[in-house]
Amino acid sequence: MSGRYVLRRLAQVVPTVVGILVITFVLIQLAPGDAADTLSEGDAEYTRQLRARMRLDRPLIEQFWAYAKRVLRGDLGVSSTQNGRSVKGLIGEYLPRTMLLMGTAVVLSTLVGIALAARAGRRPDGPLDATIGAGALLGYAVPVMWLGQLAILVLGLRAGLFPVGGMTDPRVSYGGIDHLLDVGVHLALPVLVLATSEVAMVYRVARTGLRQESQKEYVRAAHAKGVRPDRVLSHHAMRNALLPVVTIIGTRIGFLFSGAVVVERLFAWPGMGTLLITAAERRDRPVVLGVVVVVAFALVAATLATDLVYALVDPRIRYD
Amino acid sequence: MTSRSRSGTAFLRRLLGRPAGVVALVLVVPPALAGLLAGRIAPGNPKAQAYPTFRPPSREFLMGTDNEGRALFAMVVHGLATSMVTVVSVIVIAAVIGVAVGALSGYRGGVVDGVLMRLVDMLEAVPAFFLAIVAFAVLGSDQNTLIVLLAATSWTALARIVRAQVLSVKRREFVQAARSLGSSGVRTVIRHILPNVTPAVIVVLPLLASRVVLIEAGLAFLGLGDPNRLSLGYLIANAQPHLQYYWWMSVFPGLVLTSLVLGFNLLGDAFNDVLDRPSEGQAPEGRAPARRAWPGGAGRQRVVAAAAAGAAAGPLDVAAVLD
Amino acid sequence: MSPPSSTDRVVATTSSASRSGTAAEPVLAVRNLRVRFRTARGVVHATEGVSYDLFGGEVLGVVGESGSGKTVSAMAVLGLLPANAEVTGQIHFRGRDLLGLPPAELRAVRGQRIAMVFQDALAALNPLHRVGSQIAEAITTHHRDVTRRQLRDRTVQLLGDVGIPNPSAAARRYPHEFSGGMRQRVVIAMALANDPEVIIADEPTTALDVTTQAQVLDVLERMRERTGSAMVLITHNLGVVTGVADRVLVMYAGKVMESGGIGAVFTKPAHPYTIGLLGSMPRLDQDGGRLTRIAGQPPSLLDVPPGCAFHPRCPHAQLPGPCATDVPELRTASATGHRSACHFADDLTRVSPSGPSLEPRG
Repeated sequence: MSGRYVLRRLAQVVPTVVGILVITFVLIQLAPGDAADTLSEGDAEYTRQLRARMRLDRPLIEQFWAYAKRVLRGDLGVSSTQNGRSVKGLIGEYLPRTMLLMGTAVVLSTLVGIALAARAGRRPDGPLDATIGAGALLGYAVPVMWLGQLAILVLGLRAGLFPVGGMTDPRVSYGGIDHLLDVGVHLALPVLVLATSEVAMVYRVARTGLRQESQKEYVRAAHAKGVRPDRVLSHHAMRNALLPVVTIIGTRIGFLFSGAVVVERLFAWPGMGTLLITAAERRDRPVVLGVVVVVAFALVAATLATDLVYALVDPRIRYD
Repeated sequence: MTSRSRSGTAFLRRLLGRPAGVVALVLVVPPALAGLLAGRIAPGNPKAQAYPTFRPPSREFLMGTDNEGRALFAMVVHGLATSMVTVVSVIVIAAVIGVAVGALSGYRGGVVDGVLMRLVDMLEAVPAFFLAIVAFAVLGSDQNTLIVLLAATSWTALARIVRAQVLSVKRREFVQAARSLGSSGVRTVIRHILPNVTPAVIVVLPLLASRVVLIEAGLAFLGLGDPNRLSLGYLIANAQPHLQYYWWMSVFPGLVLTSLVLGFNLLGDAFNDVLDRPSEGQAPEGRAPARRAWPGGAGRQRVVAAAAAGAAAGPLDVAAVLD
Repeated sequence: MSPPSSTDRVVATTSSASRSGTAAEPVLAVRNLRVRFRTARGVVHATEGVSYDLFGGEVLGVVGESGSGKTVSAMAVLGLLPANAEVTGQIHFRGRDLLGLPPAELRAVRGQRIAMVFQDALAALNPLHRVGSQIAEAITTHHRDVTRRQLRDRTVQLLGDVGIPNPSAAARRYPHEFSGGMRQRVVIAMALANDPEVIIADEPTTALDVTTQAQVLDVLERMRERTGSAMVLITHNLGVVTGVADRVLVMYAGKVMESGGIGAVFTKPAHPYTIGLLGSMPRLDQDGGRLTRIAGQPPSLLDVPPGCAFHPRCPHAQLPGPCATDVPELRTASATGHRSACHFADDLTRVSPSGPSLEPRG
C-alpha cells in the first residue's frame, strides 16, 4: 500500500480530532460554572491551579488551545466524585474490560454473520435464506436494552444457564485459569446480547454483497471456466462481498460503543459504560467528558484502521 | 412535472402494494397514533394511578400493572407520546437544517462547501448517544435539550444526501448548457432539485426516526431521560428488578418499542424500493423528466443486461433497450 | 465461393475458410434450440428453433441486433443461463448432448473443450485477483497435477502469446491496471489456456475503440489458428464479421433469418432483414447511394409477432399473405445455395443490397 495513501488518510484524521476537541470544549463552556469547575470539581486546590493554568480570563481561543494541549497530553482532569482520582487512571482501569466485551462481540458477530451469509447464499431465496433473513431483521430491530432483559429472563433466570451480573463471582476470588473461566462465564450473556444486533448487520451486508456479486460478470466467467460452484461462491463471490463487511465494521463501532453502554448497565459489567453512567448520574463532569473524548478518539482510530485494512484488501485503491 | 398530490397518492398505493410496506405501516402507524393521541386514550397522569400492584394482563388491565400499581397500558401510551414528540420534532428540525445546508453546500461549492463539509465531519465524530449522555451530565436532562441535541446530530446525514443530489443536478445543468438556460439562477436549480431531492430525503427519514426512538429510549433506560416525561426506556428499566415473576412489565414496553423500530426500518426499506431503483436499470418512477434524457449509466447497463440475458425479471424489453 | 468481384475487397474471404473444411461431422451441432425466460412480466421468447452447425477450425459469425438472441444461444451452449430459463432442443458436442449432461460433466467441458471470451473484460475478470492467478485458475480447474512452476510458465507464455508486453510482470498485476485492449487479450488468453476445441466469443470487441478492435481481432485469430479451434463469433458489427468469419448466421427476434457462407450472404443476401442490415452499413468502396434504414424497432421478446417475426418492418412483406401467419422455415434459396427464412427468398436474391427499391413501406 502506498505510503502516500497512508499519509493522506492520516491527515484526514486531524480535522476530526479538532472537531472532537471543539465539541467537548463547547460543552464545557455551556455548563454552569466556569470551565475549571467543570473539569475539576471538588478538589478546591486543583481547581485553583487549573483555573490559573487555563487562564480563564483570556480569550476563548487561548483557552481552547490550552485545553487541547492538556487533552492531547493525556491530562483529562480529576474526578469530582471519586476522591480526586485522575480521570485517566479511571479510564485506564475500566476501558480494558469494555474492550474485552466489544472485541469478543465484534469477532463473534463477524464470523457468525459471514458464515450465515455464505450458508444462505448457497441456495438463494431458498427457505433457509428467507428464514435467516427474517431473523436478521428482527435481531437488528430489537432494541439492545430489551434484548438484554429477555436474555436475562430466559437464559439467566428461567434456565439458570448463565450468571446475570458482574464480571466475576463476588463470593469467591479465583486465580489463573479459574479466573479466566469465571470471567468467561460472566462474559457470555453480555457478549451474546451485544453480538446479536451486530450479527444481524453483518449478515445483511454480507448477504446483500453476495447477492450483488453473484450477478456480476466475473462470476459467470468463472462458471464458464468450469470452476466448481462452491469454489465460485467462496473464492470469487464471497471474497468480493466481504469488502463491504470490512467497511461496515468500522462504521458500526460507534453503535457498538453505545450498545456496550446499555449492555454494561444491564449486566453490571464494570466497564467504561458503567463508569460513564455512574459519573453522569453524579454529575461528575470531568469523568464524563474524559470518557467521551477517549471514546471519540478510539472511534477515529478504529475508522482509520478500517480504512487502511480496506485499502490493503482492495487492490483498486492502493495506488492513489 | 408531476403534481404533488398525484404522486403522493400513487406513492401510497405503491407502498401498500408491497408486503414490506404493509407490514411496516402496520407496525408503525398504530403505536404512532396511540402516542399522538395519548391524551385521549389514557387521560390523566399515568404515574399517579393507584391500582392494585403486579396484576398480570387481563381484560381490565390490558397490559397489567406494575410495582406501584400503575396500569402499564396508560404508561406505554404516554411513553409512545414522548417518543413521537421527540421523533417528529427532531425530524422536522433536522430536515430543515439538513436540506438547507446540503443545498447551500452543493450549489455554492468551493470554500463554502469545504467549510460546511468539515463541519459535518466534525459533528459526526462523536456518537450521538454519547453526546446525549454528556449533554445530560453537563446541561441537565430536559426533553428540549435532547431534541436539540438529536437534531444537531441528525441533520448531517440529510445534508450529505441533499448535497449529492444537488451536485448531480448541477452537473447535468452544465451538460445542457448548450441549451442556454440563461442565468440558471437559484430558482431554476431549486425547481430541478426539489423533485430529485425529495425521494432521497424521504427514504432516509424513517431510518433517522428509528435512531431517534432508540436513543431516546436508551437514555431513559439508563436513567438519564427527562424525569418529567414518561418514556418506554424508563418502563423497561423499571422492569429489571421484577423480571423473574412479572414479565409483562418488560415485555409490553419492549414489544411496542421493537414494533416501532422494526416498523421504521421496514418503512425505510419500502420507501427505498418504491422511490429508488438503484441497480435494476429501470428509470426510477416519479422523477423529473430530465432524468430520462440522460444517457450513459443506466442506459448502457440495460443494454448489457439485455445482451447478456442475465436479468432474471424485468428489463428484457428489447424495444426500450435500443433507445 | 463467389466469383471475384469488387465486393471481395470488402468482404474478405480468409484463408482459414478453405482449410479443414470437413464436410464430415460438425464439432458443434445445435438443433431447435429454444430458450424461454419466465419473468414477472410474462414469458420472454429469447430464442426459437435455432439450429446451426459449427465445423472444425472454422469461424461462424452470429450477427444480429441487441436482443436478437445471439448471446442467449451462446450462453445456452455452456449452460450459463439464469435459473428462470427454460431450454429445450439439442446441443451436440462430440457425440453428447450438452443439454442433458449432468453438472459435473458439463463443468469438464466448460473452459476446457468449449471456452468463452466475454465482452466486457473488466467485468469478466475478478477485480480482486491478479490476472495471472485467474488464468491459472482456468488451468488448474481442469488439470490437477500441474506444478507451480509449470503453471507459472504456461501463464506467462499465454500472456506473451496474446501480445502483452513483459508478461511475467503483467501476470502479477490486477485487471484494473490494464488498458481495455490489453484486458481483452488477457480474457482471450484465459479462454485459450486449455486449447479448447470451440471458442465462443461474445462481442469481444464491442467495448473497444476501432484501432484496438483490429488488434484484438488479430490476436484472436492468431491464437485460434495456433490451436485450430473453431469459433463462434457473436457481434452486431458487420464489419467485424466480414473480416473474420467463414460462415455467418443472421439472427432476429430469437430466430435465424439467414445462414450461409459469408461471401454468399453478404453479396447475395436472401432475406429482407439482411438486406436492410447491409444497406445500412456505410461502405468505403461504394460511392453515393443512400444508406437505408430498417423502419421500426425490434419487437419485445415478450410479444413476438406471429408468422415471420420481421414482417411488421419488412418492406417486402406481402399482406395479406403468409408473412403474418406462417413462420418461414430456414430453406435453401435456389439461386445461391445458402439458407434463408423468408417466404420470398428466391425473389429477393435478385435485389442488390443498396438498391433504391428498399424504401420502407408506409
